Amino acid sequence: MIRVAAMGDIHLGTESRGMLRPSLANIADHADVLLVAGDLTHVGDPTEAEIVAEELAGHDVPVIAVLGNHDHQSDAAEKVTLILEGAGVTMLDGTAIEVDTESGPLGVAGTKGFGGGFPPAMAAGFGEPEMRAFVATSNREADALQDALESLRCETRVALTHYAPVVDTLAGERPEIYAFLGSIALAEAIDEGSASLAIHGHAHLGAASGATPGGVPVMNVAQPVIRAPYTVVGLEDGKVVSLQGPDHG
Amino acid sequence: MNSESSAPEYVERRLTQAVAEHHGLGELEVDFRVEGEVIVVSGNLASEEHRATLHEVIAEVCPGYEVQDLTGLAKPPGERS
Repeated sequence: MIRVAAMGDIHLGTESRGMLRPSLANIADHADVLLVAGDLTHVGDPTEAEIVAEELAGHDVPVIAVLGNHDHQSDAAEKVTLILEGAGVTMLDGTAIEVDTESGPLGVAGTKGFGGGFPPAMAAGFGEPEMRAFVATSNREADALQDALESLRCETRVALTHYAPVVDTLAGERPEIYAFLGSIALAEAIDEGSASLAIHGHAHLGAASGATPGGVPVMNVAQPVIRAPYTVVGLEDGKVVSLQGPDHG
Repeated sequence: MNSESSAPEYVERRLTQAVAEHHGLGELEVDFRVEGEVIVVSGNLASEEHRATLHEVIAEVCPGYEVQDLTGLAKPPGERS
C-alpha cells in the first residue's frame, strides 16, 4: 500500500520557525510521500518561504507541494518556488512527477487551481476583461491539471490542488463564497485525468472528504479541517484503501 | 476542458460557458439543469431570436440531448413595472 501524507494551509510566517518540523520528524514511519496543498506562507514573502524551506527540508520522504493564493500575495511566487525547490521540495504548477515507493510508483499532478464556482452558481466569462480573465484563469488551471494527470503513466495518480474541485468539501463554508473557493472545472479535470484521489486545501471551514461526479475521492487537508499535522491516505492498485485522520477513524 | 464528459455538472458548465461566450447573445439569466438526456433550460430571454440562437448553441455544445425549454421572454424596458 502506498501511504500518502497530506497537509495544507500551514500558513507559516516569520514567527513560525521550528513550529512544524518536530511534527514531521518520524513521518517516514507513517508515509511514503508528503503532499502540501498550498498556502505554505502567510503572505508569500520570500522571508517566510525561507522558514517553510527550513521546516520541510531533509525529511526522509519526498515532499511535493503546490502554491496557494496566500503564496501569491507578495507578487513573489517565482522566488518562493525557487526557495522551496532549493530545499528539495518538488513544486508543481500544472506539472506532474512520478515517485518510486516501496509499494510501487505514485504519480502526483498538481496545480494551484482557482475559483469559478459550481453548478448552479458558476462565474461566466462575459463582460469586463477582468471577468473574462477570471474564468479563463480557472479554465487554464483545470486544463493544466488534466494535461499533467494524463502525462502520468502509473496507475496510482493523485491530483494536488489548493482550490477545491467539489462542493462536498466546502460544506461549512458560506455558500456565497463557493465560487471563490474552487471550481467544478477542476473536478472534470480530475475525472478525465483518471485520478485515484484528489487532495486540496483552502477551505478552512469546509469538510474533510467528498467525491467528484465521477467518483474520485476528494480530501480537504486544510490544517483547521484535519486538526493534525497531516493526514495519511493508503492507496493500492489505483484505489484509496484507507484514510487515517480525525474524521476517518 | 480538454475532452467531453457527460456528468450533469460538467454539461451544465459547458452550456453556461458557451452561452456566456457566444458573441452577440449576451444572455446571462439562463439556467441549465441536466436530467439524464434532457436539458431543462429556464430563465428570461430578450427575444425569440435569442431563444432560437440559444437552441443552436445547445445543439452545438450538446448534440443528442432533448431540450425542455422553460424560458420566458423579458418585457421590453418600457413595459417593466
